[in-house]
Amino acid sequence: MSEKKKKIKYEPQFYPGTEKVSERRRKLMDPERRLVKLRDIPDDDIVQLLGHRAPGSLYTSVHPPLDEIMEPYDPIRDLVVPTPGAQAGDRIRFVQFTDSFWSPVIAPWLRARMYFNRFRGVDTVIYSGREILEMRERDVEAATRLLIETEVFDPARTALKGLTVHGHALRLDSDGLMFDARRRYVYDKELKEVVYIKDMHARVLDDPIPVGRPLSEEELNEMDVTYRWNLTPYKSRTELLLIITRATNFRILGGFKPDLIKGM
Amino acid sequence: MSNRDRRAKESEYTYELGKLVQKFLPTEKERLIYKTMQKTFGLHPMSNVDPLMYKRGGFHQKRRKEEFFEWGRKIARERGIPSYNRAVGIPLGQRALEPYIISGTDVIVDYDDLHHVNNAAMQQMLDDIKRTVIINLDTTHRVLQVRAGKEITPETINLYLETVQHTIAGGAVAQEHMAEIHPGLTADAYCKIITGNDEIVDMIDRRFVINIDKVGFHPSRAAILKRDIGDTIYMVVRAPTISVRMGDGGVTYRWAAMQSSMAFISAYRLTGESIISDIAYAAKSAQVIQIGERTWYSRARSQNEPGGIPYGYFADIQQCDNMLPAEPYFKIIGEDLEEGRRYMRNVAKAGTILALMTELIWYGFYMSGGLGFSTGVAAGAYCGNVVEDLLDNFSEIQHVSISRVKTVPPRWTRIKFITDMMIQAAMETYEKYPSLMEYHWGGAHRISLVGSLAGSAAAMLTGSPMIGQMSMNYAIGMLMKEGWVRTGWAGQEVQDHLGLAYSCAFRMEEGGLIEFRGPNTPYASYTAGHSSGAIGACLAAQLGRGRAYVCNPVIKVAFADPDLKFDFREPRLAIAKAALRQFMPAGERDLIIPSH
Repeated sequence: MSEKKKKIKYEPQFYPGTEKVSERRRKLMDPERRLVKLRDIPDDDIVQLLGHRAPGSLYTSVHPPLDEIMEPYDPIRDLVVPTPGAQAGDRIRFVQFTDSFWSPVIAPWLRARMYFNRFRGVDTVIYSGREILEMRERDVEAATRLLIETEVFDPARTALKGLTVHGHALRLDSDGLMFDARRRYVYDKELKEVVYIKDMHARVLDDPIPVGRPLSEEELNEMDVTYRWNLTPYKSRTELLLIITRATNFRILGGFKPDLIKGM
Repeated sequence: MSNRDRRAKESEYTYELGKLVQKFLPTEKERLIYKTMQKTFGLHPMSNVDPLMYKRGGFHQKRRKEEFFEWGRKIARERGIPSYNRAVGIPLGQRALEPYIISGTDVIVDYDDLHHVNNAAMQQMLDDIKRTVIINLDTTHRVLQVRAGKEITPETINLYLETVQHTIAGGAVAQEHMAEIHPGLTADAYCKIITGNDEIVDMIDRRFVINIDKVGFHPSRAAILKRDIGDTIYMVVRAPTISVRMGDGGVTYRWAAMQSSMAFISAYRLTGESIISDIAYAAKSAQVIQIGERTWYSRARSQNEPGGIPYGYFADIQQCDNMLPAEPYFKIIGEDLEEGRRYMRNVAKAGTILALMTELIWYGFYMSGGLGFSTGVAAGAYCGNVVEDLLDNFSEIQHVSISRVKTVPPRWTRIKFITDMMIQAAMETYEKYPSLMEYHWGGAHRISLVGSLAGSAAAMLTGSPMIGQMSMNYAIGMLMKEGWVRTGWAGQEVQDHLGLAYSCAFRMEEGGLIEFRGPNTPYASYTAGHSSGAIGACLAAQLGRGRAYVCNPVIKVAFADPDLKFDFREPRLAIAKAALRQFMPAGERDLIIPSH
């Protein structure tokens, strides 16, 4: 009994694979790794782009601050620290991004995995081109800052679209921008930046909001999170395909006869 | 080497490839998809920039939308309440409102013509299924012989069949005070006999028989169908279209039971409640084959509505494979690539009916209603020659992979390798052709289509629909999802997750054999968008086994009837005709309304 069991340190494994696409996916999912900041967007501009409240106005509450409420005992409440928005009683608001199919710096299923790893108090729904993220209002503003200012946003191929979200699969316009039927953003040729002239809900803004220069094709190719025939062909991704195969085999055997599963 | 002879090797694509597109253009230009996309968009189909975006002229690009616009104004003027109004909502037509080429034809139609409310052939397809029930006549004949003491002869059967054509159309036979139906309103109502016995067929008036030897089945298939149906006599009843349009699919078996019983009363001069009750009971309950069961409470529909039709019945209703020899597919594709392609193309053609019935009609119409959100997804199955192009590739992969193989066992380890190659080839096609990506603008299009093809291809090789369904789920929830990190149908369907377990379990979900499952199976309710893939797997497995039908030989023969309004052998042509407004449906009310 004197032998002590050696403690194995748990190391989360975020994604299989050795090439750059797998590495990009691992990086975005790993909350310990810092996302590169590429641009600065003022607080008020973020608030205006989201369009949920006027800049400088107070947050609307749906319940009093948690500190002021006597809540019934619940052990989970002792374990989970409320987010700032939940603590303050903010209402739930959302931000929604559409990611072009053409060399996206992030894509819907990856967004979901990243959101769950990096944010707290989230509800998210994955579509083929877009991803909605619901949080308490001040939390969603903080998350939006990260999602617009860092490497997971390309002004040309990622777009804030609260409604009329389609365009991810369409060809690009002559400026290299993803299609938007609401024309929320345009390419400012003098500024050489993408400028939002409408908020997420397609309401015209008082002043245009620049969100930075579009990434170059070379940069996008480096940051692409999807496998594609001309950059990182899928068929040679042995490790990822092996993991997929393993998961599939276990699911099949588990559904048919769990006793058959060996080598977990 | 001339450009025509140039064939790009797979490995050549994997280096510096964007810049090498030009080098491979001769190869790509030979592909069906290149030609179709170029015809559709009018620009280089492999470019991911549309220089005319936002400069396309709005909705005026399309004749049909201009027609809608004019009608909206007309309706508003006449009734004083606004209707269709292009001044509200987003301005349509900033992007290319591309034309839709019906696969395998030169017919080009507008997208709106493929909405089920705008397309009379799609409606007739649904109506023809809903208005069909099949009654076995053996019990009735036995009752007539034993209890009523009547003799059953070819003459009496022919008299009965002549009488039932009258009653099924709404004619009276035994009572003067019955209100009759204008026969012009029910001109599509009739009954026909199905039997596997050639002697009986010879004795029945040929107008009243679906002769298995003469309705387009390959002789090897006809032989199987006749053997499995045997000596028994079934009567296929087609209630009038107007009855299901006024009521629902549940009207059909009641209509059939009532009117066929009246014909028996008249033809055999019957009286006595107990005998007639037995005849009615046989027609209504004991010996009737409904096309669909009732659906569960929260999605409640009556019998014969699409939600209650088993996958195997859907696969039997389509008739696109009738002329194919009943030979196991793996032998055919192993020996003869072109013949294998013919099999594949017929499955693709059948996919038209499967996608329309499940994705468009059941999911998009019955469960959702209104706008045609699933129109495009269903159109993926029969427009743009996309399926044909992909399946040509699949056939080639299969031909190379299983040549000289004696058998393809239904084992996942055997089929996974081929599935990997096929799906990756399909994904690369989308990546190479931004125009195709735009054509299939939603993940649902791509995921449903490629997933269904994967399932069908695997099932065709092995003869197992379960392997087909596993392959479909693997293609969607694993390969495509991890390759592109996006799926479709809002990413929330069963297939989008690691949910393969149920597909391998008979008991787990009480689903049993895949052929007997359907949109009414509880878990399948949450996989509505991919139901066509499951049906495709059932159909393909039948071809893989070299059989003549999937689930029920009588259903198979019933829809081979050339007198049906909708052509279940050539669905694409019927739909194209309807889009061009040249398809005449049944069930119209012109005879009883003012001329218009």
